[in-house]
Amino acid sequence: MFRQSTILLLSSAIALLSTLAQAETLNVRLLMSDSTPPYQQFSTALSQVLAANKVDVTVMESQAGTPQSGEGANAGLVVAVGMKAMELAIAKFDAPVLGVMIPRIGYEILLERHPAYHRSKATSAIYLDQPWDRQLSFIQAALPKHKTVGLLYSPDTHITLPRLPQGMSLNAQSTRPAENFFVALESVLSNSDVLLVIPDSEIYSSSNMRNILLTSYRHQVPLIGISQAYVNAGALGAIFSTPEQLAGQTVEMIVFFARNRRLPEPQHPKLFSISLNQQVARSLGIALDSPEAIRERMNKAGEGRQ
Amino acid sequence: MKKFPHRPFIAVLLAGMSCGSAQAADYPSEQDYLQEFPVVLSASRLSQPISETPNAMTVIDRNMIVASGARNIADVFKLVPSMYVGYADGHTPIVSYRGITDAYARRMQVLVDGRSIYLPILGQVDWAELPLDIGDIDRIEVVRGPSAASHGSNSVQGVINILTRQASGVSQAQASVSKGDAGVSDVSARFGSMGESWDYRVTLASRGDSGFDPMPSVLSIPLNDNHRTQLINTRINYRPTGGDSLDIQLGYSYSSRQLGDQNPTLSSTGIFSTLRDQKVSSDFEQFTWLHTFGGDSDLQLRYYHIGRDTKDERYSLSCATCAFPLNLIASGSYPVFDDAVIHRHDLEMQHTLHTSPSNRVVLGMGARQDSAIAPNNLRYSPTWREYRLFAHDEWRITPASLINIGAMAEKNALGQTHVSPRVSYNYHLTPKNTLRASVSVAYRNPEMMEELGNQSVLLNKVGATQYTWHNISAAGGLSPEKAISREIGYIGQLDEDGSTLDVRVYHDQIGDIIWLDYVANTTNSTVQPKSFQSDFNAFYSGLEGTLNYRLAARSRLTVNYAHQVAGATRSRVSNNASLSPAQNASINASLISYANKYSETVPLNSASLLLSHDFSDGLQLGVGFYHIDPVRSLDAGTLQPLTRYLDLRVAQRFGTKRSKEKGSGSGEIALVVQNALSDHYFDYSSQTRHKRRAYLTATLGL
Repeated sequence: MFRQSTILLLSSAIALLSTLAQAETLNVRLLMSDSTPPYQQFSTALSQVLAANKVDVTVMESQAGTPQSGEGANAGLVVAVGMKAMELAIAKFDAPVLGVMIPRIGYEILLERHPAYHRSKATSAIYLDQPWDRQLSFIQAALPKHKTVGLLYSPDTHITLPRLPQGMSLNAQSTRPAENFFVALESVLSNSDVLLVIPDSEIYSSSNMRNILLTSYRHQVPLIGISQAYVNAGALGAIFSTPEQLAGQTVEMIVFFARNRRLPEPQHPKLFSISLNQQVARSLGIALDSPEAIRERMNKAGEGRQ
Repeated sequence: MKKFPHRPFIAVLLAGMSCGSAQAADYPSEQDYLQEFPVVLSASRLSQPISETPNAMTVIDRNMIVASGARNIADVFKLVPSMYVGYADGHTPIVSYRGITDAYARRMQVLVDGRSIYLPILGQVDWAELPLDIGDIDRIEVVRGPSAASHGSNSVQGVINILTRQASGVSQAQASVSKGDAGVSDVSARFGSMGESWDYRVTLASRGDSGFDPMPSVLSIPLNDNHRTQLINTRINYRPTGGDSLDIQLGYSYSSRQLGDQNPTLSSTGIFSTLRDQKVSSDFEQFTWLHTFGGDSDLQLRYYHIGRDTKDERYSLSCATCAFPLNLIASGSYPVFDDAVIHRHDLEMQHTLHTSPSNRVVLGMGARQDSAIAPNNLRYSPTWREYRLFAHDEWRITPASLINIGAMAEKNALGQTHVSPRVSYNYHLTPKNTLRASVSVAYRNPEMMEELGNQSVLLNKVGATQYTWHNISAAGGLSPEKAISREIGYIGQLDEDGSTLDVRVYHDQIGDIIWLDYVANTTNSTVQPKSFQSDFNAFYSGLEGTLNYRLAARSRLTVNYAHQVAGATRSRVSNNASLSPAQNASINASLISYANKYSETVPLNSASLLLSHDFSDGLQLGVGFYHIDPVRSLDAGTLQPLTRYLDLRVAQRFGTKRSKEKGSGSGEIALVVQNALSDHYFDYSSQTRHKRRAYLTATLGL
């Protein structure tokens, strides 16, 4: 039902990097927020990429909240998976910390709360969020006729509204689910061509999703989600990075650290998947291209901008 | 992979950014990306786009309903091409697709959230007393053409599918009051709530007016035309798990409607219509359980019950100058109790599944039981059961072509089994231009009155023997009417803003149309009772189209046009041995006369136009214009002349921006002027005069 394109361009990059592996073995502490599937997938993928590319690191895995999670004075680098692990890593470890699978705003808030740490130690991150440019580029490539992007956010959420490319406009509205949420939703839907989901648990909670999807469907306004789960539930499409894709980029960062003993700047995911719900598209009378064709168009548009 | 250029953002850091740092875990986490959701837009919830449906379809959304200024649900259907809307009296609207042969639009299925409100005994929809407020309608889909394969029995010429607000659709409590001409006085209040696993909404409403004025050229006395309906309607949605949803709908209404003639002296046979109040109470209970197996397969189980209790006691006064048999009536009155109690129970199971990305199947089965107690109208109190099996397949053969194929097999209450197939082929010439060709068959089952009708009145003449006058005595043994429909349609997307054009030509044939017998002769000693028989074969041909045009972001224009031609031939030659040759000849002459008039039951041209515009400061304008060429209902007799009228609605929203967001204190004042240009027209009934009617509606969010 859903086509998902997973790109594995990693091997070539990693193969190149592995030749640069240093003599001294780097001890990497992998600190997980949780043992649920997404984190496990990340951990498994990370081991596989490291093994496949003969990167000379030893990885010790532990989970935030367990007794041994704080141990690890000998770690050369901490890879913290998720916000919980990231917070623990900053608090308990002396080694440089690379956060992965964390939202950009979460990372920034955390550093703000630990300014002393930030000054003294190296931290970096691979965000879970797709950059705005990429999301807007996806909407332009997938839905060229949908010019007005609707955005709903709760007043407490932390977002930076994007500057839109030529020809697109933004219809953002702040609302709280407790306060007349549907009036705001209907108002945004009435004046938007597409509704773009943002990571905002107050609005896009599992209890609200049903009504948001049903209402946007009734308004014939497609929803663009932020994960495969949104597409399964009834969003028209989403771009997101899988744990496997993030693991590849993490290995690149680890290798870079092993070589240079410093971490690169925090970055957005380099690789991402495109998922589309063709059934929903058809029902809304929208002709969607294949994910490959959409990606191609996004690449072209990206080149054009540079 | 190319790294995206990091462009400068216009940073809008919201309040929470700076003040939210006090709590330990108060930061966005990755859980927003990792959370799972139940499948919402599952296989059965996704409807086909209009360019891929097997029939032509008209969609009327809530904005159009509001802009039209309609107070009655029936008036909304004026926005459907080829739909006739008229009034038998102030509270008896007639909604009929393909012109009007009589006051009971029998060849159209009418559903509210899947519940059939096309009810026995006569086969009609009583629009005035529905336990449904117009403000709770989310959307109306009108299927133009036979659709038994998807909508069940009696979907012969079309299907009206009214979809009400979801249980979660009322997040703001609201109260509304309307006052205006013709005694218009409506109040309604609605409230609701949305929660983790429960949503509900409740509506209370009371609506009423004093009806129409008499047409001065026909009647010199006022009409007895008041009515009031009070109702409560609720919808509850409960979700025990992510994949299960239970929808409960309950409603009750009580209506009081004035009927009868003010004139105490009755002058023609058959008038038993004295001043009275008809009291109708209606209730329904509907339970729908939807289970979703992943995104590709849904199972739905629905049960509903409709109950309706009518109290209508009419009588005749003595009338020595009346024709036989009313001249038998001596002093005193002879009551006729038109009381009726009906119950409908319906159970249906439906399975929707995507067998592949290019194929969706809907299949299911259902059973219905209709029972009626109407001693003055039916021979006995029947309990009718019917059973149905249906299947429908949407198969995308190539990206540009789609075939819809389906059928319903039903066993009706008379034990007859029929199959109603439908095939349509939709071809996208380009993504924006689609052609559709379709052929379908549908049946209309006889109604209880047609099969079992028995209207008799015991008349007494002083000093003479009693005489029972049989007005109707149905012979029974009827077979369903059969319709075959063929159509070719075009659906075009005109621009990028959602403007569409939908045009079709069709040719429908309906065989064995059931009709009330002509009474052969009346003598001073006997009156031949009327019965129902299959008397005619009819055809309907025409062209109809809808243009939906987005003039600007806040302006919408809808134009509907229909050109209709109809005709009939008699399918029966009366040769009844118990009648004299002269009586048979008289019946045959009347059948031919009816058949000849059949072409007048459709208006040659009809059109409607709705323009809505939102001004930026909360001012809204709605303009509806309607045109209907002359049309004659065979039972009303009088030709309805060319009718044109204009409805206007002007509304102003108020409330500060903040209060709008909060909901409380926001509101709207609307002025509706119906029939703004003319003050003197009539439709179905030549006795009623439609005057200009203005009313004000104030709505407040609480």
